[in-house]
Amino acid sequence: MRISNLNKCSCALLCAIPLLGVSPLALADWGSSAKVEMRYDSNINNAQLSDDIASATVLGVGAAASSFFAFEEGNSLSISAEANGEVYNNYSGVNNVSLGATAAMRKKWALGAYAPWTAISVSAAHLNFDNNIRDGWRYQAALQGGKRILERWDVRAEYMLERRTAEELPPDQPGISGDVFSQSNRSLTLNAVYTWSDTLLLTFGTLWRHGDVVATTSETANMIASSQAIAADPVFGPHLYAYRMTASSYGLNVGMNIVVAERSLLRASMMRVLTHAEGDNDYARNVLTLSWNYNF
Amino acid sequence: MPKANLIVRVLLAACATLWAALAGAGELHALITDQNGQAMEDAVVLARPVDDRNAVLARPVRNEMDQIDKEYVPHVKVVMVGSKVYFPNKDNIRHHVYSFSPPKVFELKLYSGTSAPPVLFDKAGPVTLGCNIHDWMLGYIYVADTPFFGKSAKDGKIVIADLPEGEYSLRVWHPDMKGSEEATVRKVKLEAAQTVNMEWQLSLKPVFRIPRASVSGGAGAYR
Repeated sequence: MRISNLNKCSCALLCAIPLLGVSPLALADWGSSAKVEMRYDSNINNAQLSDDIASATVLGVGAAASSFFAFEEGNSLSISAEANGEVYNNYSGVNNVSLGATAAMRKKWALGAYAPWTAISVSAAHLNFDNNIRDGWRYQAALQGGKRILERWDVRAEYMLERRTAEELPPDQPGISGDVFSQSNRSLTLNAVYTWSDTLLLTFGTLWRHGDVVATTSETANMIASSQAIAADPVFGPHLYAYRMTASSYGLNVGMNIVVAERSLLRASMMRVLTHAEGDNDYARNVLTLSWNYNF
Repeated sequence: MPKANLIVRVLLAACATLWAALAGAGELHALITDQNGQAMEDAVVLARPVDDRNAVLARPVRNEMDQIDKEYVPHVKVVMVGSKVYFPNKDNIRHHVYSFSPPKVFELKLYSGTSAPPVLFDKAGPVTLGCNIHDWMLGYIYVADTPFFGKSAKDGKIVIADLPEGEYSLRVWHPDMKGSEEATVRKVKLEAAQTVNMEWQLSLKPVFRIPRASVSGGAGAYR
């Protein structure tokens, strides 16, 4: 989806509020939240060779403000603004802050907690990195659906289109673009939440993703031949290059969520993603996350 | 309910209360515990006169089931058959109250404040309440077929006062109880001015409640 189309969708959602015949400000359910996250990523540069792989521990903080509007016939709209920051222990060039907004229109198709629902959401965020070659916008549009299928099982699916923009860098290889950090991809995620108890929820998820990936690794003829864009990437070393190529990824995720207090949630999760990229650049990532969310 | 009928009921109730006071009304003291001996809150004890002549009708009172901080307050409410219940919304947002329970299937579509009309509960039995906006909201209205009922406090104790002399069929209900109300039925004969102490130990089923916490299921972690 092109950026202009995403912006049109956002505007359409926002303009829909008064058309639904209610006074949105008077009925909004306002909320805000904060998040602190510690993450270990075994392969932040998507590299294949063990000598090239860079792992990192990441400290993230975030805050969000949202408003929720309930309408007749099971319709609802949520709008949120979010600010996030990340600090990497070894690679300060990918330290970043982001500021973004999301609008989501949701439809519940029947009455009750077991009713199926669908949603469409659009979001935009600007990302600023310490090393500004990655700076740019991230746009996302998603279709979501879900249902509580059993008393303890809640399932949902999401199909997402994502586009990232970045400044076009000077070409490093003749005839190959230097616009390496502008990417687009689409993904499908299937997730399930199992309610173990009032205070413990387990999550299980799978991912399929197809589109652009950026791998920063040693230069090989195969990588150059299969890349759509190449640029020097000083974040991970003076002689390494970032390659943008098409790839398919498959992932699994399990998580444990503990309700530590009425407004406080502790989450631990593990994710493993396997990626096969053009040029036979196959790599794996393991991500362990521990986060704490607080709703004000 | 026709107005004349209502007046007759009120007069009957007043006469019964006066009669109970003159004759020396009895009291039922009940204690409800779970299988581990822990006191149980929100258990309902019903005392139904075996002789229908003692089945006096309750005075109509204004019944309310509040919605406060996206929860039903109280969690369990007992009303008598024929009662109307108001559902004031004390949050600054809208709620959508519904029930699928056989004694009363109803829906109060999105509203705020006190704009929703009262709901008439004309069949006995437990009614489970939900909110179509906030799935975790859960409340119960027990519609009693007798005016003699009580609900246990945190200490598991219930006192049902002003019971006329006679024989009663007692039973207990709790939203988390395993088994039926019928399995808890006991008969008791109450003399004038007599106090009877009763205890019930209920087995509870595993409690499930849709959590209030929002969990994405991990989708966010992929990005």
